[in-house]
Amino acid sequence: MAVVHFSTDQRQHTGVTEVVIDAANVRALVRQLSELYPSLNAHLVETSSTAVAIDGEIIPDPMLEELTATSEVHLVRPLAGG
Amino acid sequence: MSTTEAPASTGTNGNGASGYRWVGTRPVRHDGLDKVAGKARYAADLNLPGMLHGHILRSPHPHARIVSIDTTKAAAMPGVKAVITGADFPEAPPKGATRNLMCTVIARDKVLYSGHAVAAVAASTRREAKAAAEAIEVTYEQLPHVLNIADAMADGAPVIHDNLLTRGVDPRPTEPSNVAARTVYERGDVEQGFGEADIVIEREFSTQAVHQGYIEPHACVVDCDQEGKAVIWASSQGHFMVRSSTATVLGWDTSRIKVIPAEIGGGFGGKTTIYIEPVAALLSTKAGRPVKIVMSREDVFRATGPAPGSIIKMKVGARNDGTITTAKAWLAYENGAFQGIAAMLGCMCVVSAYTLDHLYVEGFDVVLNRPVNVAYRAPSAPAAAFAMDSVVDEIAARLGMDPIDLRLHNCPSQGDPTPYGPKWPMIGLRDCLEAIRDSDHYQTALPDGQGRGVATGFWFNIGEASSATVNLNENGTATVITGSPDIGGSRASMALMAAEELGLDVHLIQPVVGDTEVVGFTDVTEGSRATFATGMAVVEACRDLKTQLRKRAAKTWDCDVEEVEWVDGSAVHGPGEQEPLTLAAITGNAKRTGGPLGATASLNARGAGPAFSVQVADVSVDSETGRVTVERYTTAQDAGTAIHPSYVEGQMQGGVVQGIGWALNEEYIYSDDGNLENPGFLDYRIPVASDLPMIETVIVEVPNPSHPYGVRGVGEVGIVPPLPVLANAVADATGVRISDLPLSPPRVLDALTAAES
Repeated sequence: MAVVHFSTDQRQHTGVTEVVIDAANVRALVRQLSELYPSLNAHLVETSSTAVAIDGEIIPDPMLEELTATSEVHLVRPLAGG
Repeated sequence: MSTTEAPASTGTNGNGASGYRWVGTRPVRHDGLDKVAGKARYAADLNLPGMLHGHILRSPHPHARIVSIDTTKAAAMPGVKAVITGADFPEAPPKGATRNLMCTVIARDKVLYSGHAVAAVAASTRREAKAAAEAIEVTYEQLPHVLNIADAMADGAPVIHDNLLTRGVDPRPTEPSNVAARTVYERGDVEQGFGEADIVIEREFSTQAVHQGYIEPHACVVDCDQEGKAVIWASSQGHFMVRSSTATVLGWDTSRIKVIPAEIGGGFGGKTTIYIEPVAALLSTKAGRPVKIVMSREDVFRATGPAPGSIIKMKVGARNDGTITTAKAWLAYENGAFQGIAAMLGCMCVVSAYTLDHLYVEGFDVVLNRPVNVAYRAPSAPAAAFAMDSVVDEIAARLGMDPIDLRLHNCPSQGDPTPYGPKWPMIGLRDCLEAIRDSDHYQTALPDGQGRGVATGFWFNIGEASSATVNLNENGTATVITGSPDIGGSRASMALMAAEELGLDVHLIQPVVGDTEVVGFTDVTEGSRATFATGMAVVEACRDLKTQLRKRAAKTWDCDVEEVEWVDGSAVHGPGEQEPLTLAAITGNAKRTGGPLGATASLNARGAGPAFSVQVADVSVDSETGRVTVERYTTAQDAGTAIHPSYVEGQMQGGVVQGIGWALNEEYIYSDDGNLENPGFLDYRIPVASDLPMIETVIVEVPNPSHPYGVRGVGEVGIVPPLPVLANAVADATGVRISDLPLSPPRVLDALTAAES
């Protein structure tokens, strides 16, 4: 289980500000989000929002990161730095 | 201690009083003597037998279609061995990051900025190469250009990319423009927030593009053999990045390329990409000889990445008790010739040092006819902080509050939401504010005639992939090999963490930066990640080694390994029936107990700790010339844990000095025809030591719980606060608030004159 929070532009594709997803890891979560909101995945790719933040930690290229019942997830863009 | 355990908050201020033997101490860096003695090898120092010299021809126009390129005359000139143009490179995809990289290295159908690479020559001497490049005949069809955000966003502006449709706008536009993307972050109801405010301040700010100003120009030597393999010696912030980027541009498999990292003479983000390596590789392939390319300072300014200029509109509301009720921000950032994420980063940073129930942040990434942006310490954050912390300073003055007290009143803590969504982990902003408030500087009365300014800065810090190999030598010394170029003292930091883990004297550890065939993949050094992420790999490898060392001792003593502990560099028999075995004793006997001892760790580092800095400056302003003199400057920064405090202080000071340059002097000056008029350090003025007082440092240590020693990373955030710090100090000194940078003498003088009149 995880609570997924959507940003302003993502809400245009989900219609909600957040959703609870029963997923063991990020890969499963993304699959379920794609089924729930068919246009969201293309939007995430289009906006390069391929990173996630789990409980505040931004993970640039996630796949198997585990989620817990209390995980809070945001779909964000990977960061760069100097 | 596992890699997820961290020590309790030390608060050592970098003085090594944290209970560690080596972490927190200040040994002389392992590469120090070579660097001060001129023995360190930079890419430009390398000369190979039969080596040719490459020269790149660059566009004199900011925007033009390439009609034709005739290399006939150049190819026939003395000493010329190879000539190439964009047509010699693989075709670039129609859009995306790969196209941007490929077309930055060399132009294809269009040139997009003055200085854009068009063709290149390899010849026996630099002079011959330059002469031949200048003999290449390029026919251009000039196109209208745009050099600033306002012009690029204006209706009817010349469009740079015919297929650039703005992202983040619903419905998506069907016509191209120079606005690459729109980003929005929103929380609560900003109008409600303004309604709750007792005062509302609205201002517009602008900052100029600036260069990273590294002393060493980009340089490389490439030697391609007849089997199609290439060896590249290059100065960069990441040689694995050089390998993958060069392979991408050339359409090669990465296994064809070996990159040997040269010493780096400064990068600051500017060497997180490539410009010349694929050009040299193709010239070398064509000529069948090694090719060296060294950029001139002028080329560095004309063709390598600046940090972006910006326009930011801020509107902030606050109650009389100092509570900031809301903030609304509009940000537009230059991207250069190709789209990037500058505005997105600015949006994420702009109000990060404040707790807000209501916010609306909207950003626009704008392309224009200038070199493409490249990262510069904490990219985009300085301009954002300049806007927000200037307004916050004005609010404090209007409310009659101490500016630090106001910031403490609105300071976010662990568990509060960030402006971009996720909650803050453990952060040290409050500690930094209190450190400056309690500093000798802030507690000292401001001298007459001077002004004082304070401000905050935030940067994310990142983790990414790193590898390390630690080998124990037969004499009890160790070699630590990592894939991170040493751009700020990381060799010493790696050695210190290894020393702490192994219980070995740090001087018995040799830190080495390994090439792409010696050490495992390591991401580019960016995001203040090397000591954090690569250090984590070093620690993990050392812990593996300690297990091996305990096993060897157990074999020697013919006992169970569980009876052996590793204490202060020796294996100790728990029951006390054996004399301790030192590391040297075990490695000296290694062949007889199982062979040499070594360990490798590769990881994708998780849990980078956000960085904050708070700074204060006192300035005087010459009312006759407009010159701003920095009289005193103090910076406090949360390092997590300072592994080598001297290099932490060096990073803090370096960041501050570069921020001072951004605030006071640095700017690109373009002519109307789109050519850079100040491509050199005489006319593009960066601060030098004689311009500045000693930058006083206060290392704040709020350990990052995700790192075995609590490291956060310190390379970037120091550059963020100086822009608002100095603007606030000048406003305090003169009573005149200037919202356009740089605060150069002519601009300050104009503002003072306007205020008087």
